[in-house]
Amino acid sequence: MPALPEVDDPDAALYAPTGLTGGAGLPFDVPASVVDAAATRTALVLVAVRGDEEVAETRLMLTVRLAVDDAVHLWSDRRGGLTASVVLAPRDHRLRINLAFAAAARPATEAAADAAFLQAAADAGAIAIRLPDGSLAPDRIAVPAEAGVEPALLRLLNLLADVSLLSRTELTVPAETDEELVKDLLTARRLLNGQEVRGRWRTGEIVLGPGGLDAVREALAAGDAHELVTVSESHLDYMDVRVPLGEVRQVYANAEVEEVVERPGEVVLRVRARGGSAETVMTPAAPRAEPVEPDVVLPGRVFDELAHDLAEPPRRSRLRDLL
Amino acid sequence: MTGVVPLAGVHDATRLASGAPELDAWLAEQAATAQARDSARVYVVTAEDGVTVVAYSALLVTSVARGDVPSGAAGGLRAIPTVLIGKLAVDAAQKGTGLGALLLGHAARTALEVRDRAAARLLVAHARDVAALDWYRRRGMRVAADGRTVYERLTDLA
Repeated sequence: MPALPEVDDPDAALYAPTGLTGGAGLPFDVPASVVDAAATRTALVLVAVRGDEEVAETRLMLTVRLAVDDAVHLWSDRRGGLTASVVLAPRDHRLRINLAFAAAARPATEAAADAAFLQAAADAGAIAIRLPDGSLAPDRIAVPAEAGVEPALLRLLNLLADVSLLSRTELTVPAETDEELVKDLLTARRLLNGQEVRGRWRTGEIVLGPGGLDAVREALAAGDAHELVTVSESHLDYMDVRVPLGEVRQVYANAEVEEVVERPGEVVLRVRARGGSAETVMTPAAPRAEPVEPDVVLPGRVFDELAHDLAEPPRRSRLRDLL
Repeated sequence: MTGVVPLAGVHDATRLASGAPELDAWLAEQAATAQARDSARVYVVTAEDGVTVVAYSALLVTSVARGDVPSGAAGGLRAIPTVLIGKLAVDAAQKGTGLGALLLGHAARTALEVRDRAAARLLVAHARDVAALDWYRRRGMRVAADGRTVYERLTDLA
């Protein structure tokens, strides 16, 4: 299988965040006496608003409840990396919400969605709570600009989400990134979108079937430079996942055969680029028309949240504007 | 451009270049068969010639199901009747002209008809990539917790 080529991509530097977190957390004091602790399941729907305009929405499930003295503390699950902690303090009529975002180890598509909401809230400047009747609470919670997501992190999460969606492979956000990983992801996205990729290659192995040696013996001679063309399934090895990239036609320019190795059932050509490196071009093969999948199956947690939303009161849908 | 019409034999479905090669390929290779076999209902928008397809959607009735049935939840909701937008694509040269919104609006109206006549609770689509997700979200669809499925409740459209 062809390895992804070395690609000189100037955009790679745009995907190098300084960290994988975001959000502005306001610290709160945890009282020493915990009176009551319980599991709960309460939806907290936050809407990013610009004036009266609803810009984005996210739904967080508050799953842990602690009663401390006369205050109630609630925490959401982590899902895509965005978490909320809420403090209800009836004595001073205060409701405090703390949003934090940490993307590492989260599913890339969910992390990208959470990051998009957080950035939309920071851009819009305020969030509102959606009430059980579907309307927005009149109070607006100011969101400072620094509560948003670093642009490079947003780009990286969207890149991971794209590769995940296009390849239909679940990817998780890594704890660390480097330029080589980003370049590989950019290459993967191009291939998955049916786009050609040009890069450089240095060494490689081409595995042929048992009859392959006879077929190439006359054509190849050690020391000569050749243009080799392979057509095979390509992939990206990402963390412990093999991401399929589809069938790719790859051309290796200026290939010298270093060694021909015969193994049971196959012949391996070890090749190197003359002069140390040479151009390679990867072209996706003709796209496969994926059939319409008639079944929509959602993981339990996702389905449960959808079902929970189904039971909510009617609300205005912007989709009505298209009817 | 024409309005939204069912795919028919007179339509040239081979020239769509949406930027999503697999969607172009499905239209060219499988849409007519899906239409004939009633596995999807394919709708198109054509150029002024009434023949060349410049945008399309594929709709079907299905249900959103729970992947893992919880123990002891025999009475719990396990499947939600749904109208699914199986495919939706617009030729790159026509992007920004409203054809995608036209097809989405048509899908929503169709879903409401299904709801009225045979019961459905959701309109659902799967976003191909982040750009598609954002496109659906900006037009009013909601993003499910998996970050790839978009939906809207049909009660909110009625």
